[in-house]
Amino acid sequence: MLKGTWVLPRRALGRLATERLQPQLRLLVALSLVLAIAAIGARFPWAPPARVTDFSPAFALMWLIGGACAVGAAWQAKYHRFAALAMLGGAGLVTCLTFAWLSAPDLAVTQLLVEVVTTVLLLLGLRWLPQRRAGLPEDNLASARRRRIRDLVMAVAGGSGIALVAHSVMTRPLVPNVGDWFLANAYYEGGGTNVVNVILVDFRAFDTFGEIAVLAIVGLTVYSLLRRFRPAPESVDQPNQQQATSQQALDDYLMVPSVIMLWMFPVLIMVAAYFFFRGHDLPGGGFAAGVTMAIAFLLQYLATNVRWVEARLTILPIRWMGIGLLIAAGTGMGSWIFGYPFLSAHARYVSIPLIGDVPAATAMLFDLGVFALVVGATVLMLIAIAHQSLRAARLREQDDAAPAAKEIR
Amino acid sequence: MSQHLIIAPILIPFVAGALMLLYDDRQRAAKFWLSLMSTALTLVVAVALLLRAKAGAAEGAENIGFYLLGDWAAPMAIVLVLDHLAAMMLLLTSVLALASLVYARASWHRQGQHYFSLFQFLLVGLNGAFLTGDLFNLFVFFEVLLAASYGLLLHGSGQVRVRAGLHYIAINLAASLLLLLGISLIYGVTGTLNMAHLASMMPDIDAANRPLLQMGLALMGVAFLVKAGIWPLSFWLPNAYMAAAAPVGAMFAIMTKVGIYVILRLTMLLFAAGSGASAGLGAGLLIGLGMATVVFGVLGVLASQSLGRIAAHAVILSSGTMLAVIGLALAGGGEWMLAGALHYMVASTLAAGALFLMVEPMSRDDGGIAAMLALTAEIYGAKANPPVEDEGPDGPAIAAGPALLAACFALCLLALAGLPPMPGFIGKLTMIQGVFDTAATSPWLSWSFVALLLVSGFATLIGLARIGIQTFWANDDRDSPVMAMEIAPIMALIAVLAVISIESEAVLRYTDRTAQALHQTSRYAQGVLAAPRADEQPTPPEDDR
Amino acid sequence: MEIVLSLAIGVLSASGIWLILRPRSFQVIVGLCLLSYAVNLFIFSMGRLTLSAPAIMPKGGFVDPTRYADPLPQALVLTAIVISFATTALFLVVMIASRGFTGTDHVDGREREQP
Repeated sequence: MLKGTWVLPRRALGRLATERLQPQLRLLVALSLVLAIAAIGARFPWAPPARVTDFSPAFALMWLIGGACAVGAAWQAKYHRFAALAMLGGAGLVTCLTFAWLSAPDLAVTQLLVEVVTTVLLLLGLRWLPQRRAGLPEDNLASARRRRIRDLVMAVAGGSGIALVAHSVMTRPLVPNVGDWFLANAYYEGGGTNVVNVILVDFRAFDTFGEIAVLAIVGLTVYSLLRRFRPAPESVDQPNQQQATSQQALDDYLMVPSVIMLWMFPVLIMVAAYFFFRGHDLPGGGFAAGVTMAIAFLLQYLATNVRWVEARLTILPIRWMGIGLLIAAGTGMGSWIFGYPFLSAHARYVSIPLIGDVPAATAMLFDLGVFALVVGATVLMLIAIAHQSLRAARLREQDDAAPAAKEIR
Repeated sequence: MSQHLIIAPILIPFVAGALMLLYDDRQRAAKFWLSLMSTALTLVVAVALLLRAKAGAAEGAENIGFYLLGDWAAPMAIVLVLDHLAAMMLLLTSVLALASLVYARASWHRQGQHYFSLFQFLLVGLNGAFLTGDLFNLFVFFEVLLAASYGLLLHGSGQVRVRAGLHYIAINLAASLLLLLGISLIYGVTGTLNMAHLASMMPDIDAANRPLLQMGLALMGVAFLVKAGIWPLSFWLPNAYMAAAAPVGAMFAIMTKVGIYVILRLTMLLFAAGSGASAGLGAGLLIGLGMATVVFGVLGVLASQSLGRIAAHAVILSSGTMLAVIGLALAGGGEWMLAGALHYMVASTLAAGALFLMVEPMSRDDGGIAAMLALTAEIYGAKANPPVEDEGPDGPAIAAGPALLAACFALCLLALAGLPPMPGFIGKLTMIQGVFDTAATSPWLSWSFVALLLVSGFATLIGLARIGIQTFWANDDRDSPVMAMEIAPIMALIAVLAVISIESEAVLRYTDRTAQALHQTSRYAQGVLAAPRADEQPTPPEDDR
Repeated sequence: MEIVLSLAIGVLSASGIWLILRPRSFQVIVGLCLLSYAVNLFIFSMGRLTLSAPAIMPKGGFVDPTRYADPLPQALVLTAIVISFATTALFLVVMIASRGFTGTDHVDGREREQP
């Protein structure tokens, strides 16, 4: 009885299930490929291209580089992480240029800013991974080779499938869609000329509302996780470049750049304000402004050090986040007073001396909430990761002097 | 004000979660009371919304509520839709949330920062996903609930959680990308994101575009299958659910149901009988995957040695059963079967939630979670781990605790196994009735489905009874204390199950209305498209039936 | 242009899929980044391609929607960029934590056993 109801199922599960990540992701990719093909049915719905924009050699050349970067990143990510990261940045940059090329300036700005922050995050994270210079012995096993070939087949199949579908849709005539309504009504109904921004803060502001919640949650999670984290023992040692130079020499070496970075602070704040105010009419908006502001804070950390900044500048990122979320929710609920549903916006232009006519929609207030949240969440994440280095430094000091363990705030 | 009630289940936890960020992290008591108020208020609102959905149906009036966000007309911007199914899911979520929150007060929230904020944001995501009528907005709320679930899973940190979290996040990120691909492909060929608009367009989709539309829906479907924990995409689930703190595990019991909810909603809207060439698409696949998941769940329940793992596999079992029923309903299985399945879903979700809450008190003899954390510390040296502020659970222990716990466990077992007098029995019975009443499915299929239902109940009985015997009889010489804060929410959940059992006729009537409403696709679609803006007079809906 | 962009999407996603199937957590994170570029471009391409006509309207007057780029996919991409940035950051931190706890950067938290 016991054998029948316990041992046999265990054996069956051992065959049927896996706890490893790679087979699970492989199954996911394979199943989506199979279902996608099954959904298409017997044959691919070819249609003669009805809509083709002119071919541009420069654009093709750009993607030749972008594609090479992507493949290079895939090639190098195991042993040369830094090179892979640089190539990832290259692919991102080409993506960003593509947006600019194809009439999406808002996307280009946002992609560029996000690219900067992501790269900084990944760079900060790289330091905690184990060194790997030589090849691992098991890479040359026949089974590993077979796995790689199978994965390559799946990757090529997936990539060409997506490319085929994208091309097929892009060359179809545009179906009548809700986008036209947005174009026609953005100025009269939404009170802004930059339709993309009007969609984000007015027509579909509820998406943005959820999106800032995601950012807030991730900021909190990153913060809480790193509060309880101790790095792996061998990563605690100082990185090579820091060991080579003493702190004094480092200060001299970075003197000029750090002064520049310090002076960038007010400039970047101005840029952020500029992005923010013109967002409703021209590319920009609360998110771009928020990330710019976060980069301004980040540069202060890069230019000097954590202790210096925190002695002079008090940033309470979690407060910023709370206030940002409350502003966004409060703006939305404000329309209840006038008997309209959540997030109904009211728009008009107000002339401000020196700056001129500024769109003053209630949507701007919502955007202000987005701005505060983005600053808070981004700074919180960056600082939480940057503090790991500080904590590692303290751990070294503790090892030397062995003082009582103290919680680091 | 009452017209704004629909959005309250999203806004109340959102504001509460945001407010808590302004408090210092040490003011945990204040945060707890704020969370409790917010969750209780959400529960009250959910009850009010459920009554509204029910009352509308009783008067024969329009039983679907709409809320146009930003006051923009329906297919353009985002609309929230409250129908029978959404109201039911909202109530289920709030009941489970309240129990989990009170339970967390015992000790769990102290293991890390911002527990209560993350918890409130999880509610935002869940309620948003149940209410929204827009595909992209659905993606956004899915991300909200997933991000919050990442945070809650990692809450308290530790090697086991981080490793389970890494897998959980990687798989869900990949699934989210698939979801985005699917949604944008649907927009590319139809030009809309509104579910109701899409449903009304389904019959007249161009023959050249239909395959691509179906492909978009298939990609979305894969993403939701991952989230619903369907075999073979569910291997991450037992580890993630087991590693999570007990109250979080209880909330996770409803997260798989979000995937099931969306699959149910979308298949009934888009592949119903009136949707032209796509009618009934994927029914066979859903039945097959659902039954395979049930088999997998049965094996898992039988093979598990710990309560947490059994609870996780019970969640998979219930997901699989629901998926198979959705497939059968799509193939023309009838409303009565779906009504039974919805009844079963409510009961099994609550019971699985209660089971997760029981994991900790029942395994405290072995050291429970504290032992897991200590093990981590042992392997990586005391220095590698932060001091765990484990002061033991709060509040008084009660003398009758173990006995009460054993009683709750027994009732929970009956509910999950589908035995009388607990409500799981009624749901299963109705499903079996429904399957045999319909002529749409082959007898072979009906019989194998019923056989699986019975086997799964039997397996749950064996698996749980084995654990129960080990815990309550094998070592009764040293009873571990059970805290009042822990046993109270478990008893409350069991009490809710008992009420469902006593009032099963009323509940079944409600789920039957829900199932009927799900089959009336055009009413949903036309209702959304005719939803009036704030300044307009409502247009009378055309009655098509 | 269409053919170049669709090839680009294909190459990005093929590299991304290859990388997420690899065993090292850094490979997976780079793969997810590449995949999210591909998905963003894919969403964007669903509004078809438009050259030098950003969706910025004149102030007043008649608007001919066919002359401008479809703004909705752009708005969707903006939301998607932000969400994928957030989740990438989270994954990165979990990766660092996993490395700290397990001492390896293998996604399963332990090296593959030798057969």
